[in-house]
Amino acid sequence: MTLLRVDGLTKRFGGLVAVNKVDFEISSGSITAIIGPNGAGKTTLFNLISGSSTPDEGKVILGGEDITGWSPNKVAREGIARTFQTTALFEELPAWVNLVIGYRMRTRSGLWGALLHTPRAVREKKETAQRVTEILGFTGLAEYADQPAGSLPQEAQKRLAIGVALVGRPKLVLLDEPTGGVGLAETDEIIELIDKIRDSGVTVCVIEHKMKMITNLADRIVVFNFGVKIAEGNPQEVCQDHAVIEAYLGECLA
Amino acid sequence: MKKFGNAGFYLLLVGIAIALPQLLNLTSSGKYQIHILTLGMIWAIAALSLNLILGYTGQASLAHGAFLGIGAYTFGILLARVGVNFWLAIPLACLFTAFLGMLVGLPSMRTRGPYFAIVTLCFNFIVFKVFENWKWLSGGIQGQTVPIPSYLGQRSVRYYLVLAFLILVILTERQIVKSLLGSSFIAIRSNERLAEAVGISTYRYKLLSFTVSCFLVGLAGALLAMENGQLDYTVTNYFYSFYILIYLLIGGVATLSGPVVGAVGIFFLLDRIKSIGEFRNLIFGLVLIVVIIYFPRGIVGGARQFWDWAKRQYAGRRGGVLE
Amino acid sequence: MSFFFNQVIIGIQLGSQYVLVALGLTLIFGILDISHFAHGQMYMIGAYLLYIVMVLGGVNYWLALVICVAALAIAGVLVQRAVYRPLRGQPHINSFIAAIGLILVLETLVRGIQPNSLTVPKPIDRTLHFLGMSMEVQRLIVIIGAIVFIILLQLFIKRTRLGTAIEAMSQDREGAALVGISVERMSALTFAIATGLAAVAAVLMAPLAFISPEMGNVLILKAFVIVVIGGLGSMKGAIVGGYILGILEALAIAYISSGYKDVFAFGILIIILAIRPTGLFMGREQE
Repeated sequence: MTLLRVDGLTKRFGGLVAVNKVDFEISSGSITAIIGPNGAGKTTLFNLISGSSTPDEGKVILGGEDITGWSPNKVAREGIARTFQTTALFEELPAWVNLVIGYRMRTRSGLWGALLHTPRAVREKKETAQRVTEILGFTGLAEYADQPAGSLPQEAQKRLAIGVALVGRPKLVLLDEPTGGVGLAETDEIIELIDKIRDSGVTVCVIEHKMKMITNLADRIVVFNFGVKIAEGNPQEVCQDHAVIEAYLGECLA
Repeated sequence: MKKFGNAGFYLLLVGIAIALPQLLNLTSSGKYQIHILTLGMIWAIAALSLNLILGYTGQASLAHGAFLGIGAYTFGILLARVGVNFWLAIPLACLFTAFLGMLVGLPSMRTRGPYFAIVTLCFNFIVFKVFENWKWLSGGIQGQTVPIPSYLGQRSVRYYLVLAFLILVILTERQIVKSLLGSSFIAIRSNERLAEAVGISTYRYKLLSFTVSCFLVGLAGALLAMENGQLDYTVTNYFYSFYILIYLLIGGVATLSGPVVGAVGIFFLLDRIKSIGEFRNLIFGLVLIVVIIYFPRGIVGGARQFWDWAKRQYAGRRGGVLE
Repeated sequence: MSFFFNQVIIGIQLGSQYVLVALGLTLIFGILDISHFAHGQMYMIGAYLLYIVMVLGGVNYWLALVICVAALAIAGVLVQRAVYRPLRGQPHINSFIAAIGLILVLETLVRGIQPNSLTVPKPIDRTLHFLGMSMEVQRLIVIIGAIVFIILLQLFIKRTRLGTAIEAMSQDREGAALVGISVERMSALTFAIATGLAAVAAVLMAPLAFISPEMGNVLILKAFVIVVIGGLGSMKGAIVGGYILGILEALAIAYISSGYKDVFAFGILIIILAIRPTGLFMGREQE
């Protein structure tokens, strides 16, 4: 079943076409990898899908609903969460507070709840605490819960960012280079985490550079170069594609 | 959030605050000090209101001087010209100020950081000019008298009223900060882009924070009108926006005790050195620069840092066993 | 009709001041990302310096102009070193707060020493009559002087190495640093140029009005309005915005009322920002 469909998506910055009439689909429950050289437009693509950027042409359709041009907070509430290439966290706040904030969109208590201690406010606080504990366990971050997010080791920060994306019960997570700057052993841990995410029913789309990781992890690969999709398919197909080998230096371990 | 999470400590403070006027009433100069402390507490409420929007949502408003004046005048006019009951006039003044704040916020909240500060400063300037030129509204040079009920004629009675409101405001802010709503605010201050990406409507929450903040500073304005009994257009001066900011920063932004310490403390000290008149601004300016460069967390923030540092030193000596 | 043109020329003169101050602010605000609110106070000090040099020191106006520009350029660098450099890397709000502190210090200092309004004599105290209008020569001096310095600035930016470095910094600070441009030196240079321009504006304008400690306040707000409306970091926007504001204000004073004349600029700002929060022209993106 198709969860996300991207149709003729185009984005220009002045004279440069960062994303050029891109079409592809993401199936529910799968792990899709987006690869390509630097500057190929992958992060811009994520920005277009998540609403940080508005496309010049084309459509983004989530589960049948046209979400093109929606603001980021609306897209997030609709069920698409993301991480950023430069790890984005609420750095001075403890890890658990980061997760509380991530879950905030699923709660509705506001000013009156705060001032009057309404039953709903109390209930939602409990609910948030439960969910936060759940995700701390899921991402293996329980030991860091009270520390400021910015003080965590690099790979824990990456896991926390993923946790913040997950805590709000998204349908789809967009992970932008989740193993960037992370060592080999920790990369494997993050791969395991991504597998767990897929197993829990959340669809994953990853931008990555590390080919070995992708070929083992992804169900489908989409290859970009200069803003254009040059290949799409399962790992075997893609690795044998000529255009890919040319563009991406052909290092493919299928 | 609280390091001295000790209810007993706060009750003691409140007790002292309650006892103070009784002691001061005994001396003739003491009576004047009551007035000064009352004013200090009013500025503390103003500083707390700015704290909500600056310390917790991360937006620096320079319009709070205007809203202070608007709250004061709304209250004064309701009492003097419309004949509204005192106890009704206060919430009405707060609501009206909040409403105006919301109107100002609607276009302004899309701007960020220094832009927002400039827009609010411009608004303050406009309000000041309007009050200066529109004699019917501001009462011109004579200003507007504020007739308060006779049972509030005594200084210490007004002191207790303001103290009660101050405690109420502190508790209100504490509730907000500790709630889920508060987490939205803090998220916006910490990383607005990320907050947006995790589903928080930053525009709406910034607007809400600003509106509540204006409600509170409107309260400060009304109480100011009450305490001084007399208003003129200078109460909307944009310099007050600076002062409120200064009290807040020096006391310690993003804390609950900081604004109180800063406002009451500085206001009190200033009154002592009243003789230097204009030069107070010079000292303000220097202190502000020094504080922002070397002690950006203000007195309370700095005290906490020191306390944490001292705890760590002490722990080291005892071989890591604390308490 | 000639009255109208008269007002337009006055408006251009008014606008000239705004442009010079706004250009300086564009450099600092747009390129260095520092909310240097105290720029208006530097302008005010420039005017007082002119008084000291010209009236107390007996120096010729034109020589005084050079002295003031040089002195203020140095003052600008001192301010940058003492106040803003320690705050580099901190959230913007901090330098903004430091600027407020500076405003208080500078204005109170001047007011404490000399609170009275002062005047400075015009170098050429004549009035020209042409096309049915009468225009004081000083106003024309302002207009021409401003144009001269605007052109000089453009030449500097486009034709010299330092100027290109500043332009590079305005587009990408990190990239500029990577190619070896010293951010430190460029910051000092930017402040020097900006404050120098403020001095020019002050010296040109001083003979036409009173010199008072408050004279920088409203001007700086308007300059910010111009910079923001014109688009951050866009010098073209600052120039166009400054002249337009000057003309509109002059016409408003003449045809509407003078009590609310200052309010005018701010009202426009709020309206424009409400519609387009990033300003009218394309400058640097607002974060």
